[in-house]
Amino acid sequence: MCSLPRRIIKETQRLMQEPVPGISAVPDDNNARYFHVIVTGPEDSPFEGGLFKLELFLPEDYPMSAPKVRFITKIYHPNIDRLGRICLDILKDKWSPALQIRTVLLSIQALLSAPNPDDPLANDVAELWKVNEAEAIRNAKEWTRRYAMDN
Amino acid sequence: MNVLKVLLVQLLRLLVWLWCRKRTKQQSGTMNLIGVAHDAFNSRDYGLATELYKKCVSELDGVADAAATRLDLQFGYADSMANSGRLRDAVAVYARIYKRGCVPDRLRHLATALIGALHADGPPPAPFDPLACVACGSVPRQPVSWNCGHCVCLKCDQKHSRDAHCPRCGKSKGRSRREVNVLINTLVQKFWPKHLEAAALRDEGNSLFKGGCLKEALEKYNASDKLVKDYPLTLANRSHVLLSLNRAQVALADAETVIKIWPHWPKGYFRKSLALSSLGRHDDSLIALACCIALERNPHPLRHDMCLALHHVLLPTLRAKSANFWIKRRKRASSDCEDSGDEDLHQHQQRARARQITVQGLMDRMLKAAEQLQKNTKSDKRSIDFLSKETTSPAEVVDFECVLCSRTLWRPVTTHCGHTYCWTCLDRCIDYNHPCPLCMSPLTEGVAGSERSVLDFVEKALSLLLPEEHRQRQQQEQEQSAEPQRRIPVFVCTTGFPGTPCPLFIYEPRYRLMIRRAIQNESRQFGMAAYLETEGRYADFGTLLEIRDALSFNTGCSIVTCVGISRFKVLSRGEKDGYNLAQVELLKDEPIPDERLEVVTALHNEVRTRAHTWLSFLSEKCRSEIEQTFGCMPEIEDDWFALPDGPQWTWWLMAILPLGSKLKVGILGTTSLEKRLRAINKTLEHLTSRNII
Ligand SMILES: [Zn+2]
Ligand SMILES: [Zn+2]
Ligand SMILES: [Zn+2]
Ligand SMILES: [Zn+2]
Repeated sequence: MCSLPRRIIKETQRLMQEPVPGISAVPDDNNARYFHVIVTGPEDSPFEGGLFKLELFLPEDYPMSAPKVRFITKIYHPNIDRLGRICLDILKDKWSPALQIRTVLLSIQALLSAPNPDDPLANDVAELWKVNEAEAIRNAKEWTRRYAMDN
Repeated sequence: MNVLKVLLVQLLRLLVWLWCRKRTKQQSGTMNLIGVAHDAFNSRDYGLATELYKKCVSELDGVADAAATRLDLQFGYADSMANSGRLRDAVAVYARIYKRGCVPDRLRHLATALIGALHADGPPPAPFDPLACVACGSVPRQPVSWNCGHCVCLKCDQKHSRDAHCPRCGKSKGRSRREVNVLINTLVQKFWPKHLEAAALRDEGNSLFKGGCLKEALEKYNASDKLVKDYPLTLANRSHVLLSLNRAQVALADAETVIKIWPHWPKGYFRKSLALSSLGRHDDSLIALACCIALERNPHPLRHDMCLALHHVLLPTLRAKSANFWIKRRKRASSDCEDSGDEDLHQHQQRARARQITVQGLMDRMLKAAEQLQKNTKSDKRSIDFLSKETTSPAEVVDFECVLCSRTLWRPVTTHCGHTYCWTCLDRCIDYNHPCPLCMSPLTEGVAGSERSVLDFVEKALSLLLPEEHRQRQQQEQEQSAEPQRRIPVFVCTTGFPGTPCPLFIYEPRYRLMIRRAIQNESRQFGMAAYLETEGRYADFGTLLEIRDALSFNTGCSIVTCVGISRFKVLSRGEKDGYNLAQVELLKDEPIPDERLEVVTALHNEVRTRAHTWLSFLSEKCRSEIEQTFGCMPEIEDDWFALPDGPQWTWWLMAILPLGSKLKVGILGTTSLEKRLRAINKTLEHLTSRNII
């Protein structure tokens, strides 16, 4: 008999009715706080053409605490580590309860367009990105082709 | 002959001397009396001063060379009477004095006394438009909200920056520098764009007027009036400018419209008074001014106007002149009569002199009119929520939605940065040490502490514009606040036991909120249940705790001393604002069947003995630690077998026994005393056997 806060119901409705271009977020059948997310790799980025699966979970005290988001699809990106954890300030200390699932996913999409090797989570990737960006981008494209385009 | 002459001269001198002495004596006596009267007046003994001045006036009556003093004495006499409340008598004396003319300012004592009389009980509480600026009565422009929950225009806030208190409710306004209230600003722009435009035109008119451009100012007021017809603020200002343009008759019409629409607004009467005075209708002008004073919060700045108005009614020449002017006007209007001005003037001078006597009657009329107005204002039940009826676009539920909970704002409060959230939504942000969610500026002490109030405008706007939504929301809240009886908050931590003390350290933000609410609603109770790793959720059995004492640190953490009240079983689980809520059933032991009582008693005694044995194995240090936290082992109650939770000492023992959390929960949830005793016995057996070996 777990009643879902109005805030989550409204956000879910809006995600369904006016989906963000390039992003789909669908709540799990058994857990309305768990979302299956697919982000399309942005145009003109090494991730173009890829479909990246993520999981998003709204903790009990959402929106006071940030949603927990993780990439499931492997991705070669300086701000995303091997476990799919994302280095994004709004998911951590810059979280504000006025932000929404929608804004979080948009920020993640933007992070794919503009990797930030100066604030890395995956150090080896970041290192290569700084030293040899061309090769890093090649790797990212290769990973995208290999892991994010299987269908 | 010479001797006779000398004698005669001497006699004459003596007579003169005697006569002179008598005169000086009398005069110096009067002079002394004047001094005393003066002192009495200055020490505010107006009753005595009246008596003394009266005597002075009568004694000096025959003395011709004392005209100046005489006037002073008459004023002293009249002023004393005015100050002691004998207004009618005082007015009679003033009327005598002013027959010969005098400056208006010398009427200040009468004016002050009249203001005092008109304002005896203070102005009646006047109805007001709940959506207007509490300072100026206009639609709030660039609204800012005060700590008392009222909102004003930014300009009005600056105008009132020196006052610490709200003119509407008298509560503290809070700090002076603040941001525009974003929500109210949005609502005002949505609902009253025309009013805003009209107000802007009125502002332009005001500054043109101040700059002396009367005609241009009038045009602005006319344009403003075209947008929003008959708005009292505009009309009052237009009346002012019209009067300055010598168009007293139209100025009067505007003032009268103002009074018709806002009968509780003193300014309307003030404008009317000035227009009437300009038209020479001084009696009516005085009455209108009295009405203004009767409604005005702070009427003392009007003293000078009162002096002038009184001066006009007391001065016979002015009255005559104005009466003549008035007659001529009327003649011109009827235009069928030949102008016989001189005769009229003479007649009216006479009539005016006759009416001099009835100036007292005018006083009576004035006081009566003011009293009647105050009475009407008090009993006026007309709603004056004009703004809510003049919205240009319909209100929608989303206009009033809280960005944090996505519900219609409930008990909205505004931060210093101008953002509005539900009271509890803001509380939660503070518990989580979040800055303002919308602009990230720090949430200061003021909003965090007790100096916040529900935002009046939003509450009123919701109830007036969306009454059905407001009613539903109210109902939801009432249902929720009634819930604690059926549903309790659950602190997921460890297992507590009935009657046993339980100190808790609360550091998680969501539980801070839970504890604060428990303290606020008088129950001071909440549930506690252990988290069971194996099940991934909190246990089905827990203990209802009562807060005995709470100690908060400025970090937001607190130590809460609780004691177990009752055991419960979780029937269903829910959550609220991040913490758990459970529908529970309180547990009670099943009664022991008579045939089992003997067995249970024996078992009870056995367990007690075994407990003592186990305790004796513990180190001295360990025992003293136990005693510090949980006290000594409780004595056996006489009716231990009939208590709802069984003997207290068994729970005391449970609190200190080294048991796994699942086992503790199991024993807590057992409602058969016999079964519980057996379980404890087994544990003790196990523990002591290990010790013996
Ligand atoms: Zn205002
Ligand atoms: Zn107030
Ligand atoms: Zn809210
Ligand atoms: Zn803010």
